[in-house]
Amino acid sequence: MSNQDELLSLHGRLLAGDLRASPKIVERTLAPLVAIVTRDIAGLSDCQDIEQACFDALFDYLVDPGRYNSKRGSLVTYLAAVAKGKAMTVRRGNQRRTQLETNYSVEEHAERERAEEEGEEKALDRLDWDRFGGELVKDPGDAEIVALIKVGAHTEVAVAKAIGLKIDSAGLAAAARRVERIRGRARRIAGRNDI
Amino acid sequence: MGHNHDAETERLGQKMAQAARQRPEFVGNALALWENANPGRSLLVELRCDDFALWRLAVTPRPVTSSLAEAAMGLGAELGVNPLALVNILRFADSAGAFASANDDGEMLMAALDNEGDEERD
Repeated sequence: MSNQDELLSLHGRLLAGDLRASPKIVERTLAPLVAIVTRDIAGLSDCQDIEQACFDALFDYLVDPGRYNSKRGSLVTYLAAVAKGKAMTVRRGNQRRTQLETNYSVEEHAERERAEEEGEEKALDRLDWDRFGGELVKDPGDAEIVALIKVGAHTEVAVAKAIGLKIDSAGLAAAARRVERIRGRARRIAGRNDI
Repeated sequence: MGHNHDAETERLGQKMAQAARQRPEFVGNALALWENANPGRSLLVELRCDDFALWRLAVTPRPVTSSLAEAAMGLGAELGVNPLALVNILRFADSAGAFASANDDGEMLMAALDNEGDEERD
């Protein structure tokens, strides 16, 4: 008797309610089933997911063998089609989850940066300029930059103009660095004085 | 018995048996219920079988209550497990499942105790 005939005979017994056929069917189909699904489902890196999909396909069939129509193909082919469907669903779920986690991570990072910037701005707002303003001014042009920061007008262009830098990419980059240097001093003052 | 002991089939079969523990429609779930209720006791000892027979048993659908004894005797003979122990385990799991799913404020337990009292008087 060929393996296919043997499986058909076992399927018939299971359909008739003979549970003794069940472990024999699992014994004959499980390893080839996992091999087929592993071969056909590329990109599903986790072999646990593939095996689980095959177990689930077999479980579903064993409790309701009437799902399988022997005229439409072999039992292993039928089980492989069901298992592949389940594995694809798992893969789509994994991809969706990964995408959500990535989006969440990007949003979280942006939110953290926003919060840090806001915290920094608030620290600058709360800074006692009369008391600490002098500590921020160390180099020529710092006083002008601090004055612009105090009124919230410290754009790169405004800073560059105020301290006599050229309005080109090098000048604007230098202006940004000067603002950042003063903000760094403000951060340190705020940190030291628990502001 | 004549099991085909191909290594990959055995490995996957053991894993499938583990998965069957979570499936109430399978014998594996009944075995898990019995194991949880009998810590320290071994299914292999109780059923007088080996691992090869145990996973094959676990991936078999649970027989319906009306034909439980007959189906369990057949399975026991086929797989080389103690059929009487199997009947007891399956009956235990059926009862445990019924109690677990009963949402009757203890009515089922009272009925079982009443029934037990009646049997003792008979």
